[in-house]
Amino acid sequence: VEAVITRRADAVVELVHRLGCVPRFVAARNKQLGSPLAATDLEDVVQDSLVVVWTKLPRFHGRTSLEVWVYRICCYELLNAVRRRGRGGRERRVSDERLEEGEIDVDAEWDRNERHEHLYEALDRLTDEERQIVRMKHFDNLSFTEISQELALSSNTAKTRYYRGVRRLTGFLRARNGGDRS
Amino acid sequence: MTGKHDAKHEELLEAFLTGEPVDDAARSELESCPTCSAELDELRGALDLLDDAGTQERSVFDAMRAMPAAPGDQRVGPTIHGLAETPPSRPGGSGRPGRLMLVGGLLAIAAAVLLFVLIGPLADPGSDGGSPGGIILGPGDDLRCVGPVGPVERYDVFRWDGELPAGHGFVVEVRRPDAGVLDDPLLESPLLADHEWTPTEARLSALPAAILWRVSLRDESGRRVGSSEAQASLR
Repeated sequence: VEAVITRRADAVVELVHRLGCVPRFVAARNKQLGSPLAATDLEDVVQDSLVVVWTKLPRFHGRTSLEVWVYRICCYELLNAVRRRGRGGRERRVSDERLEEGEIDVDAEWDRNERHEHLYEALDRLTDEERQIVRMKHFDNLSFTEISQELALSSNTAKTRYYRGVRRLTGFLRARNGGDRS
Repeated sequence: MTGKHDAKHEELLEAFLTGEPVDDAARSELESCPTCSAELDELRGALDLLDDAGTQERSVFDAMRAMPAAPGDQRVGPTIHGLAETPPSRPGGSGRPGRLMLVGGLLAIAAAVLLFVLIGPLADPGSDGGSPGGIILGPGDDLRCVGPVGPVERYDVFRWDGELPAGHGFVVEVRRPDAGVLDDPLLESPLLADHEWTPTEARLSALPAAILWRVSLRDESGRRVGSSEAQASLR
């Protein structure tokens, strides 16, 4: 990121290579949602996502991989485009009937994405060790045995760090939602 | 079974969370403790959310890796190389480059206004001098915040007027009225192709009583080419 900001040509080339995932993220998530957007719309979402990635790049702190961070931006941009289409945006194309027929509950997906965003923000606030184990458990779908082997830890240590991480994560989520559980 | 929260309950919670076997008696004891019961509900909610986000992320990554090509592949290189001509600004940094650009921008505007006043009428002798028809509006010059403006019942949709040239988009930023121009906004929209933007209810309800919001027109490379600002406050 630092090298890109200082306009190092090799860093920009590397960034272009890494951002090759953007069109695929957008297309894959669109397919997951039941393909509400056509190919031409997806190209626009790709463009918007790239601009947002570029604009926010100095805020990327490397707490997760660049690809995970970019994935979150792509999910947001895609849903935003779907929602605009659903609200009767200026250009309406072939796939609009899918929205009109109610095949995709855009508002529900939007809310779900918001909850995911709050979760990612909470994950960012964990220590590196806690985040790593929580992600390995729920995002990589690994067992504690696999995690402990991967990290060369005892299973008990992995479990303790996981427990501490999830408790803290729950606290962050509660605070984010304005909760005040006593 | 005392119903009182203690260290033993913490151990049971950890066992529950890490998938250790918890017998029926222990489970029943946890559920009879108000603290543990509330804790369990929250933890279950967090675990469900983790599983949901994890499953979605994993499936998108798997699909992405298996995809040989996708719409927009050809845009990545040109877009990033185009944007790289202007490096992204650092948020919350020293702010010096931003301030310098701001001062430079203000000086440029002042010079342009002076030049227009001095030379404008001479440069176009055929014009009727002072008629708005003699001024050619550039992209973004006609931007106007429509709402919320002034006292309002609540914040919901941000709306504005103005031409949207092909390949351009709008970005809305919401700040506290007393925030510095280089401060991070409280809310920031993605690039929009519409003349309105509705943040989520949660984000709207977190806004302060008074806000200053700005809509800006961005060109293909993300540069701001025009903007309009308005203040609003809750009645």
